[in-house]
Amino acid sequence: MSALVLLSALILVPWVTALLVRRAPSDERGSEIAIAGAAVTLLLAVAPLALMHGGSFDGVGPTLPLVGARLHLGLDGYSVVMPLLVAGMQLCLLIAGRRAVLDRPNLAAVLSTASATIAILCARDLALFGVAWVATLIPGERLIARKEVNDPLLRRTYRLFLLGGTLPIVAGIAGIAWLAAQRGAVAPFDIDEIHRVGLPAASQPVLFALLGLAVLIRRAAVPFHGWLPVLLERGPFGVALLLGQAQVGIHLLLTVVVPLLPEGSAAGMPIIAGVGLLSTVHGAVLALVQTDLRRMIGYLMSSQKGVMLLGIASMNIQSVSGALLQGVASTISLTGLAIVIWAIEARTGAADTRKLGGLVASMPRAAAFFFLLACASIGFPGALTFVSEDLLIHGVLHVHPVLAVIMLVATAINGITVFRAFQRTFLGPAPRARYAAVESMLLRERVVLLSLVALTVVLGVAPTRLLVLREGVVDRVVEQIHP
Amino acid sequence: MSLPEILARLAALAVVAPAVAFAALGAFTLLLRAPSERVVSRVVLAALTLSALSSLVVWGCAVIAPDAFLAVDVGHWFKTREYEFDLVLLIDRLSSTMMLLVSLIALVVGRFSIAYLHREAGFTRFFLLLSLFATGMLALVSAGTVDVFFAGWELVGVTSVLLVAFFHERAAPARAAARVYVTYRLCDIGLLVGVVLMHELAHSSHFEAVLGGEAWPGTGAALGQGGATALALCFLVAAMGKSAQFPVGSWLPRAMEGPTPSSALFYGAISVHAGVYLLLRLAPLLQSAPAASAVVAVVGALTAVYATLVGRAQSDVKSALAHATMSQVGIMFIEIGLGFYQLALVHLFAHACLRCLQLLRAPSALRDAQDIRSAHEGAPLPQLGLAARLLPARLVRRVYWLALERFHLEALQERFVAAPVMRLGQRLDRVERRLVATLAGVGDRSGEGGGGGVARGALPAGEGGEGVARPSSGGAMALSSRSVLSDSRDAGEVRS
Repeated sequence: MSALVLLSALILVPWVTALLVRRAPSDERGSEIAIAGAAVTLLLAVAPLALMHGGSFDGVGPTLPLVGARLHLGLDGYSVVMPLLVAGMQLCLLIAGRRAVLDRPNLAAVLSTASATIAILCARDLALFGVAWVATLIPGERLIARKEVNDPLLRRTYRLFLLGGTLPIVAGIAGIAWLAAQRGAVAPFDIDEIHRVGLPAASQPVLFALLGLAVLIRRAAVPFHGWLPVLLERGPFGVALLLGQAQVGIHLLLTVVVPLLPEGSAAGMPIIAGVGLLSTVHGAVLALVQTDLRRMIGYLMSSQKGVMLLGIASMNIQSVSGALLQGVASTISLTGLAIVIWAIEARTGAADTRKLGGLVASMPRAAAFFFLLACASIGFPGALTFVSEDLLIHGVLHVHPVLAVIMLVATAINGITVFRAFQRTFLGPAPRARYAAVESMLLRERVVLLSLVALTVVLGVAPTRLLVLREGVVDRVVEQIHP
Repeated sequence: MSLPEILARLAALAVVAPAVAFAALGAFTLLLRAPSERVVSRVVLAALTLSALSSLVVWGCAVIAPDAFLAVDVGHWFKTREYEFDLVLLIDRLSSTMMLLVSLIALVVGRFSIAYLHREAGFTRFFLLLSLFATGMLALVSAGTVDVFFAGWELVGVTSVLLVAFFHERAAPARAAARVYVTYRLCDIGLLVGVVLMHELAHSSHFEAVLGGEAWPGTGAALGQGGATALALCFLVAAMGKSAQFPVGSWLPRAMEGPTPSSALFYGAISVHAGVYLLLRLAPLLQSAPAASAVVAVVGALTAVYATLVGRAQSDVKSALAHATMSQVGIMFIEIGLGFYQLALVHLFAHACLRCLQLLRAPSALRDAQDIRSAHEGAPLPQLGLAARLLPARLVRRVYWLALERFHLEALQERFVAAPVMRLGQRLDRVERRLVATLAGVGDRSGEGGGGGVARGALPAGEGGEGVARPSSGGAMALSSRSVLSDSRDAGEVRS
């Protein structure tokens, strides 16, 4: 099977499934179709791993006349894992999600968002990249704009930060394509073609600023982070998680910004590093004072995303390897943690630790999963985050020891945050025995959560294959900035 | 197969056996149901027995060859082009002695707990945590690199915290666990910075390379005095946290909220000595850093005095034992600071065994006291306090009051460490909510969390609380900064 067909199928299956779900006769039937579609997507996402040769899996299709956009899809050692991660997240959310909560519009939105996210990860053409970037935001926007959702703060924050945040990337892509066309590129949107003709050094800082801004907004970096806590606290959970956890910002940085704008990147990376460090500390301190578990997860994500930005911007082999691994590790653990919080909220009607407490008596397994996944999210030995944070610390240390120490302090605060959340949610006496009759976790929830715990432990104990898979990309990225 | 290879496999077996028991029982419990007490205890005790036997053989070999300093590479955990995380175990007199102590005491406490925790709701949880603790502690004492050491250190810390919160239905153990965790986590920054510094200064994480590779306690580290001092001070911070030294040791009496066997194992016998072990392992480094050694001795002396004074004012046996432990560990710090490393190791071994026994017998303390009184046949017990007779009464009263208040250490920590961080966070949170609300054009009210009518999950109102219109829970934590570290001290709640 050619790469183009396989990758097109990978993108289209969740999208087609979303269409089928919308037409399903009932929510229950819709849920079954969605899970089947997500399972097929996961299987398709595994295939490129097996079929990839020489570090790339690439297919070129027809070119759109006049515009010059080309159907060019491909994966490399880094991005080959990412569709698998998105497909896995999608399946986990659909299986573990509360049936009553995931109605047909929600299911379709999760599937459509996943489809567009996978399209970003597979796109080797900037036109497709830009369209998919915008498309990831449409399902969430439609869901939030539904009549029964009367939340102006959520709606406007979403529009301001996320939809408004697409302007820099659209402008950046248009600028790159125009400059590439000026330099004689046959397909001015094709990343490989642009790389071949090169972009003038003088225009690179402006383009870097535009694309860097898009990266920072999607990475919820300070001061563009406002959307993430609001979306996670008030937004549709599945879509919010996909938008928050899909590593499309890093993908833009590694696939477009660094290869196409090496001079701009060399000059701009210290700014990214500074913003990353600020986000790490800011997210950690803000997460510490939250009482809403969903908002807390938002700030934890923001802090972890800051760590990754710092790692990428440190631009050495260890830091970049660590940052890329952290993307996978935090996605697994924070998704699991969010699923537990979702389960708690579905049963108790609250995600505020001031209203919770003593849940370990009625939900012992939820407590165990929360604790394990919380440990996995803060770099506990045996979890994948331990490996990624170890690499990150050593990599950042090469840049400056003070940065590494600040990062360590932020990590320590994150540890305190998750333990306090655990303590306030699960330990101590239950407030007025309110939650004595709370339903225990369902088998499907347990299976999903145990799978996530097992995945982070297996990858944490044996991460070498994952690291080796990405070695080529890491070398290339570091070489492009420090030739 | 050569002797080093056999020893390496035995040491690895000692570490891995309890980990396998934990993983198997844990997965079964999470997915299906908790196994019976018999199954749980047999599986865990079998693993601990295997660990103890392996440790015994390793220790025997170290006794036969007392000058051995065997760093055994059992592979690498992961590697990139420029970095490898090596799995190296170190077998020498110090590590083998500690392996034997850890595995034997874990086995004894496990056996004791079968009867003690019979039909207790958390029976399975206790044994799972016991096996995870044994894995962490054995990894810690047999670590040949500081990275492996850190992994074991973290496992010990987290199991310790979970066992403090064992009786989770009460508020005090949960708060005590949070306090222990916060102290561990903050002091662990010292260990992490030490790890980072070690890589930076010595370009290696192997104890063999950094500490000179001579039979313990060696003669000096392969580092300059400045580097050795900086490194030793970083590790000292970590050791102070884990070994409850002044001024961060106030968590130890709180940790007695856990069940008696865990108190004996963690805060009498093993875990509390992890910091001492760290300093003993770094003996060559301390020999190259006299200033750091002096700081170690001063910290130990302050702790010994503080814990002795406070311990004498305690009214419950477990708190008194906790302070006695602090004071003995403080004396071990003094011994290390003065360079008496072998003495400190002997002290550690003897103290661990004695304190474990005392804590296991703590529930019978009242009966013991009655036995002693009846043995005196009504005669008054001898007055042991010397200070009360020699010092002015006013001074004695003032010191007694300070001892009762534990020298206000916790209040000071809360005021100068926790409160500023929490205040900063709360201010940032308020500013941020206002800013986002203003940018979104919905005014301050929604941003402050007063957004009534917000549909959770953007869903139609329905089941399970999701989608039910409710005010946002937001708002910066309405709790005072005390909540990070504070805990109302209530001796009556200490379970003994």
